[in-house]
Amino acid sequence: MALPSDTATTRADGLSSVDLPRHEETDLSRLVRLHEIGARSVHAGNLEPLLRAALDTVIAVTHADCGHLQLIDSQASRLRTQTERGLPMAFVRFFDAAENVGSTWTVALEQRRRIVAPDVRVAPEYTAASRRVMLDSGILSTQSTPLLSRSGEALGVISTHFRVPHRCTEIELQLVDLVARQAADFIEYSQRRRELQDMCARERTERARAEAANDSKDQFLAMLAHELRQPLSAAFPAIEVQKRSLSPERRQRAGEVIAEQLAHLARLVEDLADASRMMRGTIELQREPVDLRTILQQALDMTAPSFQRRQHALQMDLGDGPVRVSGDATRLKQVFSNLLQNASSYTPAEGIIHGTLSVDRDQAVFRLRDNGVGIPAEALERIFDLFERGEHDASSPSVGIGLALVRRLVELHGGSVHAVSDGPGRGSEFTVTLPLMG
Amino acid sequence: MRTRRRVLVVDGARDEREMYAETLRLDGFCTLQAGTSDDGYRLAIELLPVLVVTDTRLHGPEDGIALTRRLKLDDLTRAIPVVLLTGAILSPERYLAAKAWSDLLVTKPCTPKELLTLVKPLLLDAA
Repeated sequence: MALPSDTATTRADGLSSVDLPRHEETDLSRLVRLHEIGARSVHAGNLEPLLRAALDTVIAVTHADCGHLQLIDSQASRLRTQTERGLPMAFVRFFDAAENVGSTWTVALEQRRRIVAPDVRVAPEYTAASRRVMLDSGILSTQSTPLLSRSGEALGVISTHFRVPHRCTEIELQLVDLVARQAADFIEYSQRRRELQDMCARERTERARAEAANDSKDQFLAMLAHELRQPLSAAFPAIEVQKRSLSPERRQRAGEVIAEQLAHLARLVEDLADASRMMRGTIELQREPVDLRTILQQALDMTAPSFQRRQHALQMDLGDGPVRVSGDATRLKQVFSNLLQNASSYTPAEGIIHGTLSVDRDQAVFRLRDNGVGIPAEALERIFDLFERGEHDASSPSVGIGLALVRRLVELHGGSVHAVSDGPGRGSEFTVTLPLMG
Repeated sequence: MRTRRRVLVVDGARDEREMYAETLRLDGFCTLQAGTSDDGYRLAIELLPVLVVTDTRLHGPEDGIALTRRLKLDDLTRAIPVVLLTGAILSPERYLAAKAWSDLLVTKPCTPKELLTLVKPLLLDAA
């Protein structure tokens, strides 16, 4: 694309070769000034001074009484007045609001050529309504010149109006063309510039996002390495104790540690596999009628060692009757054991954990409350995100998959899960709702 | 019978702490255990072990690097060699800090045999 300065030079040179009458010299200086204003406008990112100067120049060179400049509104794809001189408000309001109303500028835009109406009263471009507005505004004659870009795209129309029947001279119209071309160049240049800036900004955002993703991937791998090492780190000395200790109690304790750490490791590996399934969206449910009380009991059995080890006071009210939902027993067990495990991990030793299962209309509701470390308000939304985890006890490995999996599985069952907390150190409550079987 | 040499094991994870302590006991040390920096520091100034083995991750507000620093800044405990165990999740700055304050930085998982081989030279110095 040619730079405006190049354009100006060729334009100015072109002009000087034309044999202009003496009084037109002022028009030449107007064109030079218009070019300067245009360059400044584009640079400042504000086209308004250019549009105003272009309109003023066209009014001056055509010796018109008033005029207006319209650009195509890209969103509404119709003409909208950008600047006007000497026109009543009613005129602008009417033509900006009206759709497909006949006028010289709509035809000029459509046919991409100048339309001159020496006498508005008989001009075929106007309809009864638009002609009335023209005459009410005191306009008897008008010309509309399209603003065409170098690629031939129509960007808008510049129109000048006369209070008496009038016909512009050929030289006047050539000057109008010159102004229109110059204005179109600047408008196009400004639009391209904006597009380029937007593109650069988009690219910057995308690069930042990619870098952030890469950083969090690095962090995740570091954390994963650590979490996988943790169970091994306890298992190695435990194996040694089993091999060498003469005390049956100590050998048994070592055996328990090995079993527990291997279970941790297995859970981590299983969580990772689930995270991968979650990201690929390939988790499938094997639904059957299940009693949530049975499921919860099994989840409690799975997580009991964790509560015992940390001497948590665990209280469960599972109600009397069965609570039937259509669900995947294994996956639901995972939901509740993850929630229970989570409560255990984020509640200090001897803390209190309280779960209740109830029925509310057509929903099964499970609430799990603890008096543990709580959740800061700003983290409440985040805790269900994949690979998000809080500060937790060193003996409970976590890679930030458990709660993300809980949410996904509950949602696959047509239910919902949410967390509330009064803030750090003030415990938290998780609520799972699942639709009851009909 | 000569007094068995005392080793203090500090770790926020109970299973791991217990098992490392037990293997050190099998190797003839008398072991002390703590889960927090405060408890570890108290035991160290009271009983003056010949060696402190601490994980970087502890219970409570202070980590193993902070405990090491406290021990090294105290005239009473300065001479006690400190081994820092880490799951290698330390940032470069924390890694340098850990290396600066401790006598030895060991990456987990490490077998008790490896640990013993690594700490033996420190114990000779301390004698």
